[in-house]
Amino acid sequence: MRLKSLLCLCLCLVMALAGPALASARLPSQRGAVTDDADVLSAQTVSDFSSYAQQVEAETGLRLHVALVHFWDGLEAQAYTDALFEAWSLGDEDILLCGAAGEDTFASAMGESAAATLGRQSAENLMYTSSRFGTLFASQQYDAALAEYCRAFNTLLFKQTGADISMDGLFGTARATPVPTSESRLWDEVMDAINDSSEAYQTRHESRRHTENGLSAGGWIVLAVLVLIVLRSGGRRRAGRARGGCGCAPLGWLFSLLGLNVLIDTFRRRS
Amino acid sequence: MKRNLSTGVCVLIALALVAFGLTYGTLTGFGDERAQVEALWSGENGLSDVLSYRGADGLNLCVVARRHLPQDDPDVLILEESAGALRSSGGAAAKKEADTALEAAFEAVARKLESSGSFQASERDQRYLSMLEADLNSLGASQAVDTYYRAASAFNDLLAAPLTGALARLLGVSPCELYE
Repeated sequence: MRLKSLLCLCLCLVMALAGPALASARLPSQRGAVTDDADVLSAQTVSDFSSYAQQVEAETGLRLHVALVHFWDGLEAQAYTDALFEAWSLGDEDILLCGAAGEDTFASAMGESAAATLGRQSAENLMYTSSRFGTLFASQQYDAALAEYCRAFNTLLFKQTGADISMDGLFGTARATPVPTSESRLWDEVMDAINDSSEAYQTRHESRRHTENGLSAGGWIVLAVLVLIVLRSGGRRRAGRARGGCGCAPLGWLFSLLGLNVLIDTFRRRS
Repeated sequence: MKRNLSTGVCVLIALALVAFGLTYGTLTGFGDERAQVEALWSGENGLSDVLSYRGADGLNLCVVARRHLPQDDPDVLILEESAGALRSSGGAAAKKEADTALEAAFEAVARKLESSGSFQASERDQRYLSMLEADLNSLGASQAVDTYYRAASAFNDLLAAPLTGALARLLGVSPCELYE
């Protein structure tokens, strides 16, 4: 029991420490069944995979996704894939195959239901022993690698669920080893978001500077009322009509009006 | 029978109200300003994220470099170390130091790669190098650096003001660490 508690504590600590590192990786936004930020898949393969993923979902309810990036941004392949699975809010029936073209490595993540249907180990073997996916991916033959993965996936799916999905006409053409593009849509999006964030701050700051420069209209009214109260109070004293008390009545007005102003300001900020 | 407070008590109450108003106003005002500057540092897409992404570029270059340079190449190790420091939690000054080290190490590794025969034969890795160099430069030139610097300087100037600034300092408001 104590060992379990200790393990839980260690796990919590590891997760807490890993948190900032995961947050610092650039994760692409989902662009359909295939998110190819590395631009290494042919249009035909993307289309074939999308058709196959649709058929799999229709037959079994399982949802297949592929994400290809240039690099893992300093994370381990599995950590990046898990982070992406979470960032895309994928669920029990989802299976995500993720690869980094610049690192020649890959990983997969899946929901509980998908793991139960396929068998977690068997599903992970699809990348290694059950197909030539790993070898082909590492030698930058991405179209062929994905085709191999899907064929092996289809065999496993038939074995586990009996779903007989035809792959006729799919994955017929494979692009020769592509040279990576010199661009990343993901990195461009991140750069735009950074600049947008800075511009938003500057705009906010400028508008605050204009609105808070000097007294607002409400402030001027409050100030005028205060001055009137003080002047009238002084006038009464000079005319010998001063009321009883220590003479702090104007101070009471002053503070209550200032308090009112603060309250109005607080409500304005909240709204 | 109306009971009046003595003048002394009234003055004390008034002074207490003024003191409360000043303390409350100073703390909320400076607190808001500071929160905005901190958001520029550690908020989403803040300067800390920008530096972290520069660190990521450094680590990505290490992956490319290890395909062509010895595993224990000193420049690659320095690059890896400075990238790690940039991605860990630390203050602005420590991150600035790590970023300067990263830039120098990145440059050294890039030049070393360019003189490597296997790298010259790899069109793929040449593209990756130019891509990583371009990204590192654009992140370095992003508005986040300048915006944070200006906001932090403006806050520190506000804090250095003779009356309100002195009161804020007295109440424990500390200046923002500059990224320089």
